[in-house]
Amino acid sequence: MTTAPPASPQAATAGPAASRRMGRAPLVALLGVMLLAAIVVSLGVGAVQISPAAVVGIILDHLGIDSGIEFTARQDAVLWSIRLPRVMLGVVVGAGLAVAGAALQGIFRNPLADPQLIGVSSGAALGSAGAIALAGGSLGLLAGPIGGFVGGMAAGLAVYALARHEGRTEVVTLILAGIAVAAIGGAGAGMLSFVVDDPAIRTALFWSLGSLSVATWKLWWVTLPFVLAGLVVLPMFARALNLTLLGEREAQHLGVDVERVRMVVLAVAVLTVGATVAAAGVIGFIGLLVPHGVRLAAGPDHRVVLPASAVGGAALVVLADLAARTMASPIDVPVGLLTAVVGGPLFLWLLRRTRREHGGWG
Amino acid sequence: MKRLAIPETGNLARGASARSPRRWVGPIAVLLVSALIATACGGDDAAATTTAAPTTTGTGGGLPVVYTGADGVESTITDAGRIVTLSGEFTEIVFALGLGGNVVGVDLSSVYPEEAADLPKVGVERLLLAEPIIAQNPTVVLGDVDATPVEVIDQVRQTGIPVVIFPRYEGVDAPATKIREVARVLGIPETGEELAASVQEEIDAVVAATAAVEERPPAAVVYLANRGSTILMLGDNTVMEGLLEAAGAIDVAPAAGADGMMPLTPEALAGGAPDYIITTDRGIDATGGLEGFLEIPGVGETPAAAAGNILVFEDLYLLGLGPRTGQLLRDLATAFHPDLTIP
Repeated sequence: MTTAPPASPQAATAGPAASRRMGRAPLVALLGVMLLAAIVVSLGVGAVQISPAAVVGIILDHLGIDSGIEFTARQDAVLWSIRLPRVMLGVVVGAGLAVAGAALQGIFRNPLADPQLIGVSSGAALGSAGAIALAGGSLGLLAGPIGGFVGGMAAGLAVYALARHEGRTEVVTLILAGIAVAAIGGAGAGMLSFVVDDPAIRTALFWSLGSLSVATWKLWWVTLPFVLAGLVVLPMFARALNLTLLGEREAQHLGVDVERVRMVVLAVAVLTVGATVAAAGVIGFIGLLVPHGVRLAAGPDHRVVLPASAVGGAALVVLADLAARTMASPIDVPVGLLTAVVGGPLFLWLLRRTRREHGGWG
Repeated sequence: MKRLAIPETGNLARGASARSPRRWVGPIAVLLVSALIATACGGDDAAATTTAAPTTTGTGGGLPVVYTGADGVESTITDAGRIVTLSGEFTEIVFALGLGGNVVGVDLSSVYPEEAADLPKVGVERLLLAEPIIAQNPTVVLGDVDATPVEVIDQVRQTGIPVVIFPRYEGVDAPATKIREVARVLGIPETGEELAASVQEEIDAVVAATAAVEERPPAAVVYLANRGSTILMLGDNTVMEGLLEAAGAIDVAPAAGADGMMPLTPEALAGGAPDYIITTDRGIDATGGLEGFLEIPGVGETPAAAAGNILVFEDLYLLGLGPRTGQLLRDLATAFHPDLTIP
């Protein structure tokens, strides 16, 4: 264990010296191939039989190309209206969660800052459910992501304020405050789903463990811009986040307005997370698993971590959802169960390692 | 008492179609974990296989039918040759109407009749997936307002399959109404009328016989969906509304403040002091048998427990409000009033 590569934030200053680390282009390309493979496999698998050729034929047909491949109208409807929107929503949700997770870890200088673990996701769930209950009629599908942003931001700021002490963020307090805020948010969203007898509010299970089963093209289009905001804006702060890793004072001296960076990145990350939660509930550990995997492979440079996490997160959620809808068919297993099975142990391991680096929690 | 063995799948089955809208969330979360483990060890399941071309037997002359569902969506049913049911109560009614041979897929709560339990499973309410339903190539899908997520229902409809969403029916008139509506949707209104009339006749006979009864024992319906889930008392605004009264008892739930399904508190039960407690197989199984059931706080202290008056029924039989409800009322009335003669 002592020979493990220096993947801690402090290693950011080590630069690209370590030759065994992958560069940005090959890593993103590799993850991109994985994502593509995950999408292709997902589109071909389901209770309704659609041959790979028919999958291609249907997609070409919708792009206005007549391929001459035969398929039935029902296969067309299943692929185009059910499977494809679900897979594409998985791509968007996964990319958003992973890039937001990586960014949150950057601003909090804490490898454990997963959107779910620090309470942002549950806050977003409460905000989302509340907004759907109060304003679902007037705002329609937009109520979810907007409410998610408000709730997630409230949770994020609360946790941040609680964890700040003498100009630095305490690792333990951050997580403990996250647990408390997550409990409040989760309970609130769950209670709403019990009290309000409207299927649009969704079930407590949806809010706590997530599902992509409600995917439609409309929902996808509503979610996409919020996640795109994260995918475009967050990487712009990659350099600032790298400098912040040196230490806040050091970054300040190097011309980074640490507090402003922190607020903007937090807001954009929460905007992204809020939209994913509104669309697919709370899918945990994606924002923890993926950035961490990327750091192990390519080091802590945010210029690599942010884009690579986005692609990797998309692939991971698409694959997890494929398992969710097929492994216990005809039951739709909440996808968050599967991500937690993998993410939980990783979190424990990270917890141990973080404690060692900090020399105990004290 | 009527007791039927519940097949494995019954554990995930749907329970009372009572008011409380989110009653399944907790137990299902727990059960999914076991389902996951079971699947991981078990391999393939039959539900995902596509079946052969549609059969046309039993398609009634009353089709096409246009039905406006409880969700406000209008469905046109042109063929009842391949039926998928999303709740055990509809499975039971379709079989009782003689169209069991047309059923090509059922949900996990369809444990009665036995033939239905062997049919391909298409899902479980509240966690439905569109593709397993579509894969059975149905010509009509029957469910009620618990058939969710609604987006999944929309997805099935987008493939051109009509999905009929019935409202929740409650009380002693529900079985006949439900049977008539299902029969109408399937194009066999006359058969439905016959069955509904005979079921209503059975129910009326019990109601008439118990009408003159003066001593009405207090009774309570206690329902437990799964191990570890909330223990509920069913009162007004649930499927049990008026049923205990019809069988010649007094339901203690309304006096205890139960509207819909109420989480059971020891005070509520002790205050009502029921002479009879009525529950289901699954609840007994979930508590680890009758002994475990009697250990539920409040249950053991009731006169019902002291006298050994715990009546156990199969879930669908007690809560399904269907063709067997007349028989259920007769069972209950006979238990409450052993000397009563019911014609």
